[in-house]
Amino acid sequence: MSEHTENSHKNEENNTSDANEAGRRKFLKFGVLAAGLTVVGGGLQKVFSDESKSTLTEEKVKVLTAEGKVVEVNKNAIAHPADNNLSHLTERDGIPNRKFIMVIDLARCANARKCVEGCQKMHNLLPPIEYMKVRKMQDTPLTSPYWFPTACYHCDNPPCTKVCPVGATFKRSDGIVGVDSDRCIGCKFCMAACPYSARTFNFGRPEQVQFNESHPKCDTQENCCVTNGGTVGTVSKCDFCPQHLSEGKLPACITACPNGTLFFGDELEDVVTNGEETFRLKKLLKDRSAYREMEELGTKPRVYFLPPVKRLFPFEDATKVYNTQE
Amino acid sequence: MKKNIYFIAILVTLLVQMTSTFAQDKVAKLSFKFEKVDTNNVCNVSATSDGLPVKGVNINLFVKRMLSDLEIASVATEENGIASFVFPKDIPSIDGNLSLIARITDDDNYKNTEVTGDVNWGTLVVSDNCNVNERAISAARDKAPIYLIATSIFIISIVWGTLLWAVLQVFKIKRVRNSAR
Amino acid sequence: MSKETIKKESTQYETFTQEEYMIMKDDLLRPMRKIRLGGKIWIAFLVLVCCAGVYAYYIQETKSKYVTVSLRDITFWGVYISNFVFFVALSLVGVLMSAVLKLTNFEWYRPLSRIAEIIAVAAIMLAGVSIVAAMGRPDRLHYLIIHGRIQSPIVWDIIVIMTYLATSLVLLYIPLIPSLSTCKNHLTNLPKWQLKMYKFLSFGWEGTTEQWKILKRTVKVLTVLVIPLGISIHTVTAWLFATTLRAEWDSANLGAYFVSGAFLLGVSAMILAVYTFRRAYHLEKYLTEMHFDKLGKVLVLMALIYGYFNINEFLVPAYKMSGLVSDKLKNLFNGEEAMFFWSVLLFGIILPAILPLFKQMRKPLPLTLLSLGVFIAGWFKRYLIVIPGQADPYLPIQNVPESWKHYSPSMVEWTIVAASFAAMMLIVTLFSKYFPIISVWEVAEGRLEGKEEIINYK
Repeated sequence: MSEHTENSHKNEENNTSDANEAGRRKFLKFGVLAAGLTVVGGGLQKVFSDESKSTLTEEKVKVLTAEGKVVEVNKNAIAHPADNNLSHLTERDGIPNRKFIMVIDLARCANARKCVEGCQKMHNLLPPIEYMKVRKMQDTPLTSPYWFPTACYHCDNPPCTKVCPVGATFKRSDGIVGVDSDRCIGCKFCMAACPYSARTFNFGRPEQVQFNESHPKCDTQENCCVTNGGTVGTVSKCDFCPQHLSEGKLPACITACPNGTLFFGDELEDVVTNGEETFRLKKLLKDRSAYREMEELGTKPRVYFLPPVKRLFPFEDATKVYNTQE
Repeated sequence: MKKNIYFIAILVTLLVQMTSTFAQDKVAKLSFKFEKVDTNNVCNVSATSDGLPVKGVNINLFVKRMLSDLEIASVATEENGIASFVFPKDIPSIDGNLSLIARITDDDNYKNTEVTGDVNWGTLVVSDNCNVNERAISAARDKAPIYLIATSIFIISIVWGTLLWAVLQVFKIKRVRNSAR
Repeated sequence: MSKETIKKESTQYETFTQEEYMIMKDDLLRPMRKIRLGGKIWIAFLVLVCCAGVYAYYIQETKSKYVTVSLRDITFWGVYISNFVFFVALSLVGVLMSAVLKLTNFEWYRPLSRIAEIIAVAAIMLAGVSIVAAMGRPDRLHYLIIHGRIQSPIVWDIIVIMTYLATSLVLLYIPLIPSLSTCKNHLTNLPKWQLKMYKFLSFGWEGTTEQWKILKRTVKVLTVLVIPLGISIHTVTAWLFATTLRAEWDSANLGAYFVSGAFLLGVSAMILAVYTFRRAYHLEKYLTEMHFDKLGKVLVLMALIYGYFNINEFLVPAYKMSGLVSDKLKNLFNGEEAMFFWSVLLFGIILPAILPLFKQMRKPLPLTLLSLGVFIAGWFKRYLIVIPGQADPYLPIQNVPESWKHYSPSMVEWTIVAASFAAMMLIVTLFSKYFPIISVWEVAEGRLEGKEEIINYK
């Protein structure tokens, strides 16, 4: 009898300890489950809540992709040229009732060079060919150096359009100075006339020629452009991405910058944005004491610079030299 | 029994968690009311939830621009659920029309919503088209300055006219020979 | 005019000592009778260099320009452009040596004028060739006409070059007419086609008084016309640089600076050509030591004028040392380019301004050697104007490959430049073989009118 009791006691002990074990395990399982459910619940909440800015309607439209497949997309995701004035225009006509302007905040530039990369991806350029260049500038021996991103300034009194013998470079009504690569004869007079070294000539660098042949511009690619820098023997430069602008999107460099250094907008609307923040243009220029590069040359650039005051980052020198390959 | 308790506990936790998350996001409906008070343009945005006015919710007013939205102000709704914005008079627009957007964003109690409305409160601005239609040295071929075109034609005609005369004189030499015979 | 006067004038030429006239004709037309071995070798050599140039251009256009040509985004105007400027400068020799001397009644121009005109014509043609070699898309050359903008200095340059070429051709041709008829009559043992060509080109010239009047009047008008035309051709070429905002080219001086340099270059080219023709064709009686003496003095004058413009162009900015040009000026005066710069100034301006002041230096051989220095220094002077002017733009050069930072012309570029010189000399040589290089009637006329000084210096 005592043996049996002992056994049962033992069993009970075992059972108790087992039960304790089981209880602990259950507790742990329960905790993990609860945590998992919270996460799932949170995820479900996100899915069903209404946090996106644009209202996705239920209406879907059938479209044909470049590969010839039929897919259904939300109607809002398609830009309808007929809906607004921003449809594809001929190269020389500006987008009506717009005067584009760029503001570059030198207090934010940290030489990330993402603008350079974004621009090269947009225009199918290989280094060392660049439309957007980031230079280290130091105005005086005693003042601090700063990073200076600059592309074409699309001047209002352009020295380049004056000298072109065939009218291949022209000023549009929306402020953009364009280059017609079907008309350029490659005399490079515009390159001599530009004081800001904004232009580049396509000498037919073999790697670039090969790259352009394997990446022809195409209307359904995201990184295509209206102006073609790939024509050998012609001049090309930054064109403020008119393809993107005609679709209501920002130029490639503005969206590529991780620090929000580059601002772009319409002078008539008096607004510039870097994709995240939007400011009133005139107020921004006045409050931040903006200036234009080499104002005294009288070229009337359409790119303003905000001085490198109250910088976002302290100045750091470049860790490597770029574009060393020929 | 223990298994039952276990199951109920889980179910209750789940329910509490779900209701708590969804309880955070009440739906608020926004609506615009535009009016003119004295000389100001006033935009009243009223927020209602289940028919009742919502108080103390931050409403941000934006103007739609070409590439982004410009924030005008951020005002919290009053007792009557209305946030009143005095609209600035210096927002430019080509035809005076502006597209306003009122949004509730990242509110603790309400889901994000927005409402758009059109007003004609923009100050008119006319583009000078960057003067591309004026005659200038930097303009296209057909828009060259008159003085340049006139001077060039004048000089070229005089010089080439003289050359032509000289060539004709050579032919005259031949003619003179014939007449002398 | 009364009948008597007419008869008197026409017989004037006939009573010119026939013997002397025949000797003169003989001398001046001898080079056209036969092409000697030396001449043949020379022409063959020039043709070879021209062919090398054509081949080099073919390589440049078919292979990538990035590989064949050293031009990059920073220095994009290279030796083609400086060669173009050089040839435009050279073409002003027709203005100086032919037109200006004629109008100012310096009678010793007479043997020189046709040499000057043919060099001018050849140079301006090669200037056009050089600029087309520099174009990125020569297949779009016609766009200059159908899309040309009158506001562009390049279009002005094209118009002026075309006009100057036409005027120089006419000015070369019209005084040639009497000589052609002389050739036809005198050189009877030349091939038939050549004689036919003379007959055709002489336009029925018979030397009547009326014809002489027409000829003289036309030549006078064109001579007056070609002077402002020649000056404007080089001024407009200077404006290709002066209309840009680059600090090194932003000078009000640039037009006059280029024109005065062109005159200096023209005199030196004239001396070289005169010496060559004198030796090759044994024309010592006509291209005399007096000519070298006079040309030496003109060389001094032109060198002094050019030196004056150089002082204005360099000394004044050096005084100010504006930050826009200070780096480039320091480079030129005592930096990388200093050896180059000072030797160009020495041989191109200082020596020709001083040495010919001495009589011994105005003898044919010393003067010719000096002029060779001036000629070569002239080419490199224009190199110094074009290429360093691009090396220091307003925004600093950073993050570019090594080959972009320094420009030194490639083999293809040098070949094409050499071929342009060869082509010019080929045109002049061939012309002198088929047409009299010295204007017979002008020399005879001067002699006849007792203008002894055209040949015998008193």
